[in-house]
Order: sequence, then C-alpha cells, then structure tokens
Amino acid sequence: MNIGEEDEQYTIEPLENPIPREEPTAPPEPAREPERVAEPVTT
Amino acid sequence: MIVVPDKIGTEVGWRGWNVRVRGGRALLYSVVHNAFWPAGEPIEAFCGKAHAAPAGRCTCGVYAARSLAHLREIAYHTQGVLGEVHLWGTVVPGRLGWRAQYAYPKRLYVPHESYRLVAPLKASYGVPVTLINPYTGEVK
Repeated sequence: MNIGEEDEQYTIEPLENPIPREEPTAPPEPAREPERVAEPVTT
Repeated sequence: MIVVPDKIGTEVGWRGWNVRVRGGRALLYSVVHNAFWPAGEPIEAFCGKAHAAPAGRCTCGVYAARSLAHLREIAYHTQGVLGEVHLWGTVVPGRLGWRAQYAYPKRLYVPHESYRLVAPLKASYGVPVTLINPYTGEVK
C-alpha cells in the first residue's frame, strides 16, 4: 500500500481504549417447571 | 520517564484484509504479509531491522489509507473485507495514509457475497460489521 510522501512522525494516544470491551452477557434464566393445573376434585 | 503524546485520540484509516478461520474464530489477515490481526488486542508493528516501528526512514508499520477511494485506486477493495481502523502510538503520516505502531478495527465492511462473515467477525472483534458494495462504497 502506498501512503505517499511522508511528514515527520508524531505520537498519538487514545483518550479511551479503542478496543471494545466484551459486553457482559446476562445469565440465562433458570428453566421453569411447567405450571401444574390443579385437577378438579370429584366426589 | 513520562512520554507526553503530541496528540490525543486516534487517527482513523482504511484497510482491506483477507479472512481466515483460526482456532474456530474468523480473523483478519494482512493482504501482503502472513500476519493476522488479533481479536481483543491491538496489532503492534515490528521491524526486522531491530528498531522501534514505525521509523521515519524505513517502510515498517501498520499501514492504512486515508480514504476508501484510495483503497479502490490501488485495487484493495477487491481483496475481501474492508474496514476503518484506529491508529495510535507512533504514527508516520503520508499524503495518502499512515504507518502506525498500533491499530485495531473500528468498523468492518463485508462484501454482499460474503454475508456469512458478518456475525463471526462481529463476534471476534466486537466492532460493528455491515455489508458494503466494495465497487460503489454503498453500505447497507
């Protein structure tokens, strides 16, 4: 890659880290047992 | 000794890469050198001539162009994935681009036909990845 005529070098430092931090992932919700439907009581 | 930088922030340039799968991750590879860009950490320039890179009288450093138009002029848009990169540390500016000490992708652009790379590259580098027509620069 050609970058053309060059000027004098300099130093540049980022104010913030340019590398994205890994997003914290939410813990998976615990599996819920299916709701039990009360069976009708017959007498 | 405390080194005070000449500027604060990063330069933002353009690059093209090949993509290879390594260790189950999609990684960017230099078009010219057999070097991959690590995920989650900056790529750091080095020089085989045993001096700090980049140096003014050498050709070492991480290269980036000033514009997508320049990448197209030198046919890098046909190489695969395109992207904007943050550049920092020691920087040697040129009329058409930079040579830098450190770099990390800022945003990646994947050609339409390689749409399957969008999710793996986003997972690897944690940066936005969008589709692009590399010939027109149209982004979707």
